[in-house]
Amino acid sequence: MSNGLLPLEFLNTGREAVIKEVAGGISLRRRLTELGLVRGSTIKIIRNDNFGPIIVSLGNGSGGGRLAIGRGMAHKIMVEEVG
Amino acid sequence: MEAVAMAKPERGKVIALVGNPNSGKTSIFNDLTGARQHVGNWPGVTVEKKEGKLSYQGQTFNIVDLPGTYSLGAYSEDELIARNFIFFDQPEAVINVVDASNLERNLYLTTQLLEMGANVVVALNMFDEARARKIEINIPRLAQALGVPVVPTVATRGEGIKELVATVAKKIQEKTCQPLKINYGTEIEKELDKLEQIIKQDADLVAKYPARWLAIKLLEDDERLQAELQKEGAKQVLEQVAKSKKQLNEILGEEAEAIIADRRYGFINGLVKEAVTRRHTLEERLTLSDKIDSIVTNRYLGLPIFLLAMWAVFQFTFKLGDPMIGWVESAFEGLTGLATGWLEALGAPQLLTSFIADGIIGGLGSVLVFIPPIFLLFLAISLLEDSGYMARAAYIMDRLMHALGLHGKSFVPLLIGFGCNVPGIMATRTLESRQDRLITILINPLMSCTARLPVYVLFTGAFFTANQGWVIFSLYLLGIVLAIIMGKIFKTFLFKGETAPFVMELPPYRVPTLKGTMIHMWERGSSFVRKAGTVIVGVVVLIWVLSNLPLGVAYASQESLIGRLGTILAPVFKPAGFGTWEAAVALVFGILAKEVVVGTLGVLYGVQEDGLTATIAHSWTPLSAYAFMVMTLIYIPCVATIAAIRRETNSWGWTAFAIGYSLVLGWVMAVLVFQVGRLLGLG
Repeated sequence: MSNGLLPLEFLNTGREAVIKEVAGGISLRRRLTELGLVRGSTIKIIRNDNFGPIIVSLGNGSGGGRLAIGRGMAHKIMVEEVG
Repeated sequence: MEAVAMAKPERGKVIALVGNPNSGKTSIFNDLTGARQHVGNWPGVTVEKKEGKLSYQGQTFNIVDLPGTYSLGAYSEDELIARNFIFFDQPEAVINVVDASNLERNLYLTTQLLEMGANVVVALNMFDEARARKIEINIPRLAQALGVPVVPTVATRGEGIKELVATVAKKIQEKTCQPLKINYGTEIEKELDKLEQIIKQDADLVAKYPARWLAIKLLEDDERLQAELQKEGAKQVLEQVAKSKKQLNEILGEEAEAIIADRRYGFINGLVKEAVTRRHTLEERLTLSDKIDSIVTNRYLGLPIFLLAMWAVFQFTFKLGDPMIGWVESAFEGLTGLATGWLEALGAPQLLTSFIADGIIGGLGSVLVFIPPIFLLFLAISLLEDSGYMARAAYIMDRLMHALGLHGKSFVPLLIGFGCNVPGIMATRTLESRQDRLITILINPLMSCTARLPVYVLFTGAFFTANQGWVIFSLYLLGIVLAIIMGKIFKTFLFKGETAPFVMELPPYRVPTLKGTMIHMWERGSSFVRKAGTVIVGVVVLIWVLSNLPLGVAYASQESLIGRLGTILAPVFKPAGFGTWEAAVALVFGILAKEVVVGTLGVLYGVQEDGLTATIAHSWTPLSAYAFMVMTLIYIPCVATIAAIRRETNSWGWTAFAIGYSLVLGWVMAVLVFQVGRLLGLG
């Protein structure tokens, strides 16, 4: 809570966060929604090299799928760190 | 219900297969039908509608494999195809293939199917993987919560398929499906009610869509449905939609669409909590796939590994393919000799003999020599795709491809283009955005394919023996630079829209199955051969006719129609330094296949291949030779490529555009090279 919101892009490898807001256009939000990247979903950064797309793991209940997210998009996904 | 089914017995009962990309839907399709079908790991690989038959207890079912989608909005063509099929073709049942190890995201599609009122049976696939990850799924509870049967399957091993078929057959008989009703919260429900009332007054709409589903979609801003309603003049409904959206926006401070998505996922999360327990802690350990990824997609190692993989693919394709090309060539030579001898012995007119030997057999042969490398290339690519590596390649190349205004996924088709543009263009099927796909198709012929190499070898052999390698390399480089420039231009002027956002699944690595890979290779390779039977034969025949008319002329001489055409065209190429009728005719023949340029020049100069170098050294200059090579690189793609462009764009307009722009660009570049060279005193 104390951390506030920050773009997904700035999270380092290994961190976990909850998606709070997607600051993008409607097409971006739809694409993210169908892939399960919605408000309230927990993600874990599997890899962020500060270069190229970011790999995240998605899912709190049962998930485990890996998604690659372009840097531009990762900039528009606002998250709150947990743990 | 029975009566409806009885009314159309000859159609067979239709079962649609719906699921996320990478959910194993294709494997289930293969299990059900035994049909030849592609098993891919690259998201979005199933594009076409595929059908197969299934026999069960004396009944025949038609299985239709719908495109893999993550949802059933109308945001992509695939989603629309799937949605429309379910509404308008009214399959008796829908098998929803769900990846058990990725339940939440997969159930998003399931809830949409259920809201549509489809007669669903869920195939809970990759059940073994879920179990290996210690995900315990209580199947009866999941089935109860969804209100439809759930059958666990492991499609790659054929497990659970019998039960699935039995369940579907039973479900079709019962046909007891109630649309799923998710509670979207008081405010939204209130507006949905209002909308539903108005929709129900419109008999046409009610006949087509379930009222509640339509109401939800309209609040979700579904452009297709809005456009459809506009066309049908459902003014009242649209007015209420606008009112409701405004109202909701005021009360909730947000768009209805976002809240509906939240609620839908809320419903799914509740459901998953009910039915799934994880024996493991929530702390995720790194899977084997992650470990492989940490090397393969490493910031420093990723690119070298990728290049190494591509180098291996090319070595595999061409080292192994070259001797086979030789076999095909000699087979066709033998065939030509055989046919000629046979026809002459039969006393066939010389014209007919020439038509069959030079025209059909020779022409087909010049194209079919590409079959071995094409099959091998597809085999290698299938292996990379089915193992999951292709998705990583797209990830690695994403940054570099941004320079082109494209994303990572466009890279692979371009790279394949260096081998042959035909499979390169076919490989664009994996791109989701039509814009990206069109651009990648349009610039693909600029990747200098192997068929152009013989032309380079001939001309550099005549003039640039000292630095042959570098001169050839400069042509490859020119192609790449032009591709970047043209890509930018197309992006800026033809497709102004935004780049499709780059998010893609990285499916876990899998050991490809032999059956899957072979089916995959065969499907793609054989479609090339089928094409060779149609478009290519047509052009071959046309060129042969032009070479032999008017009657009595020597084959492809200056007096023949094609020779005259060359004579007419020659002045056009004068500014580029090769304004002879021979060069013009060679270029026309080169459309058939670019390496034909060499053979044609041989015929026209009346020399064998070994004497050709000397003849060319005598009658060309280094500058005109270089300009000619530039022209050969860029101008009109070969017939096989044109056919591929037509097939993949499904538009004669774009095909004509690809031909036109490359012709103009080739001419401009050749002229530029020649004129600038002359100014620099290189002539």
